[in-house]
Amino acid sequence: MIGGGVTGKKIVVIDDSSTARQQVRSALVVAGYEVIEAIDGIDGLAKIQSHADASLVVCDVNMPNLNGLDMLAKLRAEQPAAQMPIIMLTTEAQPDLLQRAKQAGAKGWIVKPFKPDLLLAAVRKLVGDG
Amino acid sequence: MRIEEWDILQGLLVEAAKSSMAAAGVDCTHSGNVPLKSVAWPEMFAIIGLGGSLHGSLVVSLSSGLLRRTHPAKATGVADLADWLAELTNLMLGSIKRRLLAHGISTELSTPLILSATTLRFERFAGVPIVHAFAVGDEFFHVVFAAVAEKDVFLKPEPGPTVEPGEMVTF
Repeated sequence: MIGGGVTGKKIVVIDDSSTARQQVRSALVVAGYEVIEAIDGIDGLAKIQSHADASLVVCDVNMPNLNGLDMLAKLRAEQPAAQMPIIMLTTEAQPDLLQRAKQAGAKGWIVKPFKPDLLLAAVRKLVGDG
Repeated sequence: MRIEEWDILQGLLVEAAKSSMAAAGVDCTHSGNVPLKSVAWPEMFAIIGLGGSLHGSLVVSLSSGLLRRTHPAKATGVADLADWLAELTNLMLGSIKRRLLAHGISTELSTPLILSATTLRFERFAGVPIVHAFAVGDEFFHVVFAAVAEKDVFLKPEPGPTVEPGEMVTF
């Protein structure tokens, strides 16, 4: 397969749950996106750095080692060139956490369980595919 | 918290468990509360901690058969089922947390711990454990919630607005 899937675009998916990553992968691969998986915030930072051409990041919040919001803040501080849009995908719904994500530059927040068609529509819009 | 507030809280837990299972494609009915010692625990269970002004634990236990039935990709391996149990527990407690937030109580979650044991006996909980049994056909699963509330915590009787699952908030 040509790198970047049928669309030529890569999405980095960061979640400590393999089941959750698989669910997001299933929603995105069917639409032609290539999915790069990471298991926590530290792995997420490494994967974003090694896939600097990724078009978007989908990121959980509650993860061991480095949570999603701290990862987002580190990403903006340590990889300023990494300007791809980030969607937080999490069970959390606390207003202060949403505010932190907004201030750190996330583009959206989806509360799990997610609807695959809604996630796909959000991804398409943010990567410029519709 | 007063007794009626704890009753509301237990009701929120039941709603959260049912909606989390429904999202996994499984309809279940609440069979009521059962004594902790009467439960025949299956071999795998999840524990997740709740922190803040209301703190305690949620324990979720499903049989491997139910885990296989509900797994989004119909996986059967032990590691996959353990991961799914962790995620299902995470979804359930996230749902409880959202409902608590709507009633004015803010909490924090730990990441789930999955344990596997041939024989399980719970020795101690923070607070009084309430064991909820849910029926899925002729099978059951159990959710235990035990928590203590700090002195000035109260549950608003009517819920306020919250972000609903599946909705995207755009920044």
